[in-house]
Amino acid sequence: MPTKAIGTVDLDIEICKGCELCIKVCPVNVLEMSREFNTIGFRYPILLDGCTGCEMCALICPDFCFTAIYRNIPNKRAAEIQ
Amino acid sequence: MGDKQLIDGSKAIAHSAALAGCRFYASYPIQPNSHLIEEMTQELAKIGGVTMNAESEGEAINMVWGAAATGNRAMCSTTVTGMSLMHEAMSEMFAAEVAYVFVHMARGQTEYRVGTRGGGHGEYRYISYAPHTVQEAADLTRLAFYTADKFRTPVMIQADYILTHTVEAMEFHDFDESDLKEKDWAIDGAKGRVPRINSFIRGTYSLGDKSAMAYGELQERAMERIAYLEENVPSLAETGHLDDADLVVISYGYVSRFAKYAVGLLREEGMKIGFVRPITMWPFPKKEVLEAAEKAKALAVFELNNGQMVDDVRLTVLGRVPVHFIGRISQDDSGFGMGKAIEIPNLTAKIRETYEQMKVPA
Amino acid sequence: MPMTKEQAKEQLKKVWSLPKNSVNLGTHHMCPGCGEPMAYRIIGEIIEEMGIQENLIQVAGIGCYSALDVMMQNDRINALHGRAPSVATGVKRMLPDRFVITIQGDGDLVSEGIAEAVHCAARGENFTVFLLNNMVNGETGGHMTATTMVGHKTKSTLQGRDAKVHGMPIKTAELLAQLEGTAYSARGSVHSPAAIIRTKRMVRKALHAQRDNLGFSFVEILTMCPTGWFMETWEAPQFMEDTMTKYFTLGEFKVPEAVEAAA
Ligand SMILES: Cc1ncc(C[n+]2csc(CCOP(=O)(O)OP(=O)(O)O)c2C)c(N)n1
Ligand code: SF4
Ligand SMILES: [Mg+2]
Repeated sequence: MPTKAIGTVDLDIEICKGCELCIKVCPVNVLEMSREFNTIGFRYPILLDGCTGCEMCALICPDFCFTAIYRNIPNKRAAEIQ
Repeated sequence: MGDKQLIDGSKAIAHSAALAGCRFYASYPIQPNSHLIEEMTQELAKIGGVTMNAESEGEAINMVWGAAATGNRAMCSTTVTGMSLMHEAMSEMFAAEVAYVFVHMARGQTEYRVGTRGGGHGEYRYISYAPHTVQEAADLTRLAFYTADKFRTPVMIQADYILTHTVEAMEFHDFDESDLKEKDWAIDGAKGRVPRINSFIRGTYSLGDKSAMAYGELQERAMERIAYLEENVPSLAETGHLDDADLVVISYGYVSRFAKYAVGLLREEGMKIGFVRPITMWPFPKKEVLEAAEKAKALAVFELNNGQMVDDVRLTVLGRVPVHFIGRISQDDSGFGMGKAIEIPNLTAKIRETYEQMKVPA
Repeated sequence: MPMTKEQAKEQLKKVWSLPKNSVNLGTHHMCPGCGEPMAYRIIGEIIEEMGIQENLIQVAGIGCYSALDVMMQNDRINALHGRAPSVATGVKRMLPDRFVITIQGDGDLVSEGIAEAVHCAARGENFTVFLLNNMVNGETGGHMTATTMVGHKTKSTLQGRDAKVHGMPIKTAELLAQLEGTAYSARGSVHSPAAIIRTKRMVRKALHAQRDNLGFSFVEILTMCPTGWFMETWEAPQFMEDTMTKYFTLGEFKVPEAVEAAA
């Protein structure tokens, strides 16, 4: 059983409206706003290294940009959300 | 069915509604509508339908919207003030293409205009029937449910205080509805099909349907729908003595019974008077009224208001003959019934006066 | 040497993905940072979890969220402003074996239609009402509603709601919990992941109450409206945590024993 959580997310930046809520909730601060704009004219989050796959960003995102979460250790909440 | 019965107008409407398979009825007590609530409660209980004594008129009509949208037959009723409260929903139920039957238990005849043009916002029309006997109340109720489903649109019955309480011999007739199509618009849970939406903003459509309309288009479509209904809904009228009449009295609903009787009395005196009784108030029976206008020297409209149907008559005859208004607002002291204007001496005097004026060479 | 994203994905397990049946319709037109789509998603996820989307009729009120309905894959009626509970009554009485829900805003349910909601609760109508409370008429441009907090600035109360002029806001979940016909009444929020998870449980309990024919069920969900609150998107959740949830306390106000035991 691995002890360190490693994860990643699938992110659809084209539907992001740049509200930055995900940036605020990420507990390990690995989301950062882009300097570029997406095709609908908003800045969007970029995932840096160190994601733990905790799902916080996916839970808070009002535009459903986070389409899937991957993780090495199944977490407790995953069971509930499924 | 087929047996003569002695019952009142409300019972006739209620039992007819039950025979038509009405499953839901909601209303809020107000005179003279209250008697219909009592009858509907009993009639629907017998067939396992639901009657709601709602907490307000607004609730009642919106409940009917929900029930009718599921594809079940539903009915609503009220009287004057209540109808004003209901018009918010009634306006949009036309836009959302909700098929239901609305019974207006009038106090006099001051709601002809509202019953044919609507009293709410936006462009809409009701198909509107005005029965003059208990028998006709029963028959038109069946027809109303059929027409509502056939054209998927609200249908109104204009009854009144006297009809509600008049007990007459009548019989319930069979009604053939075999040409009605399946309700492919019913909102009943999207089991095995694409979800449907009943929306006064975009009409009724299937989810993902790109042709669903924007609000502006929906409003424009109201024009087409109204024109279609006007063309395709059969308008009904009863006529008498049009072949020899110089003066034709036009009157609707229960009041027309008094007018017809007065015409009969005056004809016995040798006056050449005929009558037209619109049964469908909208679409207005233009054919019959035009026929009257072609042969007669003048028309006289008798209704218990400040002159509402007279507008439709004038718009129909377009100045071919003079159209006199001989009605008036007339209520009894209870405020629910009809006052002195329908008393036969008053009425015959009015018609006689018009007839004699017409005879004097100008 | 850190893994690339693609390499990482191969080694990891997919632990979560967007539910397909409830929210797969792509973009919506809510403002950035709006809480309403999140509330819709929570409701959609529970509907999907219970497998009832083909057996459910949604009656939507009038507000910003009306435009979100396309997210939901179920039959729907658009009711007039404030009248959804009455329409839902007609639907549920005709189709008692279907799930019926209404989704309404605070302007819709509390300002315009509180009478309807109260009477439905009193009658114990067996459907579920979801109130998305953002303290403003968002859709009209951010005007005061019957739930706007005292002191809160809106376009029609630019100096803040004054209790002497406008009275006090209504705590709808507590109000409806008083009525005997109400089986379940709770208030959740979408301002943080933790609140979202708790709110999901409430939504589930409410729909279970309906499934078990226990009577009227109600969940008030606090949502942020940064546009109507004149705030930055990322300030709104903090405002809710610090201020709004202090007045509109989160929690359950009425829970039927059967539902409590099952949860
Ligand atoms: C009878 C009526 N009055 C007013 C309106 C205008 N109106 C449309 S949406 C809305 C506000 C809705 O507020 P709320 O339910 O809180 O939803 P929100 O926009 O905040 O999500 C109003 C007042 C209307 N549509 N109908
Ligand atoms: S106005 Fe408020 S409620 Fe409406 S979409 Fe924007 S943030 Fe959401
Ligand atoms: Mg609101």
